[in-house]
Amino acid sequence: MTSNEAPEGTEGSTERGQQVNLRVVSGNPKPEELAAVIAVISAAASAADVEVVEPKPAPWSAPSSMHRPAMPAPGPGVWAQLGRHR
Amino acid sequence: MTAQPDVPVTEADAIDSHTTAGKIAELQRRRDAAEHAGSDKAVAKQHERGKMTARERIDGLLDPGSFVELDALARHRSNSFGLEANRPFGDGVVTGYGTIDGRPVCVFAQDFTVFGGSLGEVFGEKIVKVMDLAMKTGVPVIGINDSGGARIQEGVVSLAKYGDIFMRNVQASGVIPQISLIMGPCAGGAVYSPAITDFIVMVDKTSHMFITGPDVIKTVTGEDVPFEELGGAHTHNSKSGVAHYMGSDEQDALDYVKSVLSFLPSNNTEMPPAEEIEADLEVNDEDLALDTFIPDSMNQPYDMHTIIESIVDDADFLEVQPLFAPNLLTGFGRVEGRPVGIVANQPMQFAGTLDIDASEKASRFVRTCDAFNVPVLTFVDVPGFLPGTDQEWNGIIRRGAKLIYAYCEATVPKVTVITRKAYGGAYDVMGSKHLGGDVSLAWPTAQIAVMGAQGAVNILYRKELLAADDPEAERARLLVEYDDTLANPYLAAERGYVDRVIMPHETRAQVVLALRALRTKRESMPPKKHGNIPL
Repeated sequence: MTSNEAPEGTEGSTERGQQVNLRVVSGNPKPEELAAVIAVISAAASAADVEVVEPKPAPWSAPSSMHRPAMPAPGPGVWAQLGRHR
Repeated sequence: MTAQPDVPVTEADAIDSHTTAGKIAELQRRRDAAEHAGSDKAVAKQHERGKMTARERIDGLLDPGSFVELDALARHRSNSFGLEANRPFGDGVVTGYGTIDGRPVCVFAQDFTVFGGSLGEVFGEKIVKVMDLAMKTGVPVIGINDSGGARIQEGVVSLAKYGDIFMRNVQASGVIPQISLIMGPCAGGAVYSPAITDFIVMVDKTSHMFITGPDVIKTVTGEDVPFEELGGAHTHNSKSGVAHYMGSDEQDALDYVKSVLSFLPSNNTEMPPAEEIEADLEVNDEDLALDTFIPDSMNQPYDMHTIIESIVDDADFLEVQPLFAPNLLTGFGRVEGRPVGIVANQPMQFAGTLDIDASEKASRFVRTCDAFNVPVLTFVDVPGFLPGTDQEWNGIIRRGAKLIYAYCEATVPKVTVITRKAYGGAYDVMGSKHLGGDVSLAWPTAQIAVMGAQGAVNILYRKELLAADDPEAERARLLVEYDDTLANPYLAAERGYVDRVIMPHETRAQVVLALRALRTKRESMPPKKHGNIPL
């Protein structure tokens, strides 16, 4: 990952596979300098991650859970097949 | 099992029920008692009225020997008002399964000869059970109604059972075909189960449906109206639109139900029953006759049945609601052996205008077709909506909108043939390309425009006509000019609003080819709980 490859925006990965979005606004940092910055920022991000709350599952009565599922195309065997999934 | 005091015991007296022979004889005795639950007197009275018994009706509906009865030995367990002294087997309703034309169905028949067919707890449980069976197995359910109403002695329990039945009617709606035959009284809350079903078939002179009867109406509003006029078969077929067919007698009504079922799949995951045949696409004499069928004069009516019958196989067109809103025809036919639902303006009645009744008749029919995978074939000759305060104040806006909704929502193949007028908003409504029509065909006699020439010329050239030396000659010239410019199918064809302008004699072949091409059509609506059709 270098500023040459992505002058407008670049992404780095931490060991945990999380994405760190960085953009070089001005100057022309060397790869080692960039790597240092990424290391610092991703360390901070990992620390912050601990507090990240997992997205809540849709509530039991979510309106979208009451949307009617699409019907499969009519044909032989569909009636019995649908019954197994219900 | 010891003999029950309320089970008629005759020969059984001599039987020792502790032997195998005795147990078999006991079952036979109970079966016979169930078979003849209604007294001879009640059966004779039923026949005198021109009505069959519940079992005779089932025999007339199902394939001979196919009926398997359920709960024949069910009996009520009420102890109120002396009911405990009379516990007939079956409790006044015959339920079970069987076949029609070899295809499985579930059926229940209310038995007027037992407790006047009144609905009590066990009676209701039996209907619920057979409906549940129909829903589990994905087969049509046919209800034969002939009942005095709720069994008063059983109180709220009978009301609960009506509710249980409504709930199942709604769950089953659009999943399995539900057909109601009304073959006697059907009054009060009892009407609403049939009302929710897909088709209601009544019998001339012997069937009635109403919420409140003549006596209550007399007391409350002072109106004096006889049974037949209030809620007879003719009233509900021609005036209210509640019923879909009026049988001349009971067998005619039963035969109609069989015919309707021949066009419908057993459930919404199947295609309707198709005959594997290949249509002859060569032009025949009947096709050619269509080239001279449309009169030269715009205002001269013709019978749309003729066109429909020349397109469908064997000229076999089964009309649905033939007596209601006759300005619009609905019904089933087959094209190349496959069922289609047909919606068509009828120029013979009100010049084929759309009104409230026609809109509701057609929208209900289109939705029935869509629910059961039956393609919709539309024939258009519509001069517009019927004008008048009656229409406006009774909600033509709200109720006419249902037809737009139904066409837009339908995902089955939609093929439209414009034979003559397609004016104004009614053009859009009648299965146009804009409302999701898949293939739109127009005859050279088609006039697809905002309005007819007379109206348009009056509006467009009001000043010119007033200023003209000879207004009538000028009007005639302008009418011709309008017709030549706008009242034709070619402006629409230029824009692809019609896919093809065809010779009338090509119609049958073109409809066959369009429906063939559309056999693999797929389309879906966005995910939602349900739409909000203006009801």
